[in-house]
Amino acid sequence: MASSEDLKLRRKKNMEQFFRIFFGRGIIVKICLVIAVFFIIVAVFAPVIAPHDPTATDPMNRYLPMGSEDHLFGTDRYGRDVLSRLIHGARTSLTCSLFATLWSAVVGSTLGIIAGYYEGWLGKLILRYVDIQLSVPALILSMVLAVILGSNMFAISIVLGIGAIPGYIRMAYSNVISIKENDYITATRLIGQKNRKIMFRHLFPNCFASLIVIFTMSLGQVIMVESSLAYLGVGLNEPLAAWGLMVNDGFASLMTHPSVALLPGFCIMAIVVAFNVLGDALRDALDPKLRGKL
Amino acid sequence: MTSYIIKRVLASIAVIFIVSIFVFSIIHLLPGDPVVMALGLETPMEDIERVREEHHLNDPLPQQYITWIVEMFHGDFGDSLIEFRPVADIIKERLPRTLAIGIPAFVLGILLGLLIGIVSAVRRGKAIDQTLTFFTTLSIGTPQFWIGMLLLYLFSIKLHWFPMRNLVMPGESILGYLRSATLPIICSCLQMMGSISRQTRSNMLEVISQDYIRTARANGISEKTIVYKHALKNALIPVVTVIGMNLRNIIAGAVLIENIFSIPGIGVTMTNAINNRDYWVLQGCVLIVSFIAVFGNLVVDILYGYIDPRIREARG
Repeated sequence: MASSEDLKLRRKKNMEQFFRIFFGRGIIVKICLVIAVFFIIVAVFAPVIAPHDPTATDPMNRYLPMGSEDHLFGTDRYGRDVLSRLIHGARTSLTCSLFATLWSAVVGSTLGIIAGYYEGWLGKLILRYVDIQLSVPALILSMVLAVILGSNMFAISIVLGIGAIPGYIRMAYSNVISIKENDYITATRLIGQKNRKIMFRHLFPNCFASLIVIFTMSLGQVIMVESSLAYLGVGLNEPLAAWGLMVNDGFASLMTHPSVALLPGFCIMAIVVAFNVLGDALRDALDPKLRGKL
Repeated sequence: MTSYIIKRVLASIAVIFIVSIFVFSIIHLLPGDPVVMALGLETPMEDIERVREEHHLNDPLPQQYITWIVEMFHGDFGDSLIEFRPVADIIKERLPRTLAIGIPAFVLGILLGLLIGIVSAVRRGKAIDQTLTFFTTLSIGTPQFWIGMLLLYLFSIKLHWFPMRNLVMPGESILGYLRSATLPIICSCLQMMGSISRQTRSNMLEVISQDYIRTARANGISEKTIVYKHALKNALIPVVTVIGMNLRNIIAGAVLIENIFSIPGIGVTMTNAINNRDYWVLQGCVLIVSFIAVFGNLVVDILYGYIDPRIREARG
């Protein structure tokens, strides 16, 4: 029987190993962690940090260049401060995607665990649903759903979440299928443990590592879809500050004022890449066996 | 193999059937009455009634669905409410433009992806691997509309190497096609290239660490033969799935690419149809696009079963 002292030591060792592998992939992971934390802080404190009201127009000061006094990143075609819009855009994008990723994680992994646990008709039905959803190109499905559900932040979060569900279902399903074969699951079933308890006490914690990885990666993916929808004009609406909208808005003046369109795009790239890289590093650190499978 | 193919085909037909129900219901789920939205609020009631009657919008839903499917099998997708011409004509006119970008991008994405994946697996840990991996990470995480804009800004506006718009079809002038299609094709293949090279690299690394590769090495077989003859074949099997997934992404990407480079293809038609509430055009386009995606998946599945007999048994 391991004493609690032993357990503590092992936990500490595990943590050390986790951090060693997590940061062992070189400088890029560290940079990405900084970028992600930076954007999260910016998003949380947006109203405090932003020098101007992101929606305040100023017809006298349209298209101010970068580095102008009082407007560090210049102004857009309505004279709105680009920096403040970028800062508030981080808040919009992160709020939407966090909400979308959270609810789809809960629903998706529940469905996936159910599908894996009761293979039968219920499992087949859930997997068929995934196949069908994936057969409609994701962005097109999201566009149509966005038009049906509307373009406020809540509706867009629902749309984005629907797009992310299949990833969770597949991941939870394939995990449960292999965990289920273990003797301890059979044992708990033989003792007469309830199905629901087996699923959430034993199966869910064992899938947790890979679900966290999917979660991190889909955060980036969801931000990308969100901005694509806004860019196409079916996502979040003006005058809300959202990066995709800003790119769309700046596109018209790409020839004369490229920074208005290029800056928000750069932010999208930075945060999506950061979450993807962090997801990768997390995967290697949480479970080296998963390498190459996600 | 035959029974596997038949099962796959049947499964695809089932998927198409359910997708068609979804596409059919779009029109009823969208807010607002399609006819009123299309004709304007001031249209007299009789006209609205007439158009509703013409489009069988007063029938019960299941009957509407059946009429719709039957008409489609006759190549009749309805008429555009904005352009006043058959949706089938619109699709016939615009799909080639989408394919003129999509197919080369698909092929280029596979080739570049495999090449980069193999090179970085073979030179694992070296500078070239790190550089390539960095670029694939970037290419996966960058929104296509932004890359497109960056390319436009650098190569069209600043350097004047490529025109900003007006896609020339290869049938008209090969040179013009190459000039006008290069940027959209590059932009469209980048994400796919990234995900394929990632997959190829990690599969190669996994296969190289297998026992049979060690045995081959122990037998004194040259490194080149090991990599290209023994490892690559097995490493490529899972890549086929990623290629299948990317077929869908290329089609969906067309929406963004065509909007940036002003190519009047299916993607732009779809966006316009959404914005103008041109329901029949939207239905037709979504259906065609999903059909292409499902068909592409079917081909990939069959290929997969052909390459790897284990799959045939598992899924057959």
